[in-house]
Amino acid sequence: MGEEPFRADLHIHSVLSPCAEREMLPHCIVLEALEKGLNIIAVTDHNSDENVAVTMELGCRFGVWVIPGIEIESREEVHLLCYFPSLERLRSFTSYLTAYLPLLTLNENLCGQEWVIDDDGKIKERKNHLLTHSLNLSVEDVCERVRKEKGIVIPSHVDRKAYSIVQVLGFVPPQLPVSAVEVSRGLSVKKARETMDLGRYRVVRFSDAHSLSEIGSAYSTFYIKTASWQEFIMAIEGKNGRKVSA
Amino acid sequence: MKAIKIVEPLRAKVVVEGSLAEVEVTGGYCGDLLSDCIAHATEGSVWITIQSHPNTIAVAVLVGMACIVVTNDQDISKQTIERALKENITLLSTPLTSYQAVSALSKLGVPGTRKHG
Repeated sequence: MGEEPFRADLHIHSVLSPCAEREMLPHCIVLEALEKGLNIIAVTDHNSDENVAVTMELGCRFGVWVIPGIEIESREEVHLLCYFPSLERLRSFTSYLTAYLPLLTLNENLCGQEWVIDDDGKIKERKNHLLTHSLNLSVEDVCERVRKEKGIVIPSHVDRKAYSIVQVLGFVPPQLPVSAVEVSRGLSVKKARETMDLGRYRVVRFSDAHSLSEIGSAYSTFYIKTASWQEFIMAIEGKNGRKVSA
Repeated sequence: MKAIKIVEPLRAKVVVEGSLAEVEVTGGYCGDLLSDCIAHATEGSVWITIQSHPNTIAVAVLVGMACIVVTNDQDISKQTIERALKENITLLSTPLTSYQAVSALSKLGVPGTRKHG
């Protein structure tokens, strides 16, 4: 059996992220992904996973593989996409984070709203503290904790002017256990490599969608045998003939 | 001015001494985006920043900074200290905010400097 192409957009914000449009409901995200021909997606809200379970459930029902994920903001104000082999691993990771997120009251007029959605698509909870804030954990702390939960880290939009590891820390710290970096949808991989020293890192592109129309506006193709975590990791690490192209 | 002269006015703690007693401070730069500091900070400058990540040491070496002042009593990790020791980079820590630290250096006559004008 050979490798098959799986189209993946693994950076999507739901209505739990205050910066996302209110149309970014898990149900709408999954249907939009189907319409765009995506095989794999991830809902990666800021510092929280509370809309992941519902999206995974919907993904199961509609035939889209939803990888458990989250986008972390480190102490240095670096954004990191983190993915896990199971919902339990993700939850164990996020329960650890709670102690490191300062409790700031959410100003809905200024920052937007943060909604947790239930299986019926209704608002289950409106969060009242701000999620889009830096955790008191360094990029190294985050990577170590993700590794403990058997997950992987992909630094977000490394080409951007804000919240990018390259911008904030000057370069990707060489010891950081990272195999791939994400570049923004506006930039080709070729251009990214020309303008930045991305050396040994594999480059992926995802949409960072904050509205439905943006979903799938950038995606990476994983050449893997089955939609499984092991295959996904092999592609990210470029092992056993599995690969990812962006 | 010798770097050692800025320690007291900044109420700084010497975290890593480096060549504190000998090194000459010829200017100052303040910034928390390391990419910006690589591009614009000048050789011989004192660098005021809230960032204490180990990469700051690499940036100081790259630019040839006189010393780093980490402001706001920000925690400095073991890795950062080890790296500073290895690279012989002077690392100071101050309870002052970046604004207050710049203000203190300005009173000492340290000019703000920037690469390419």
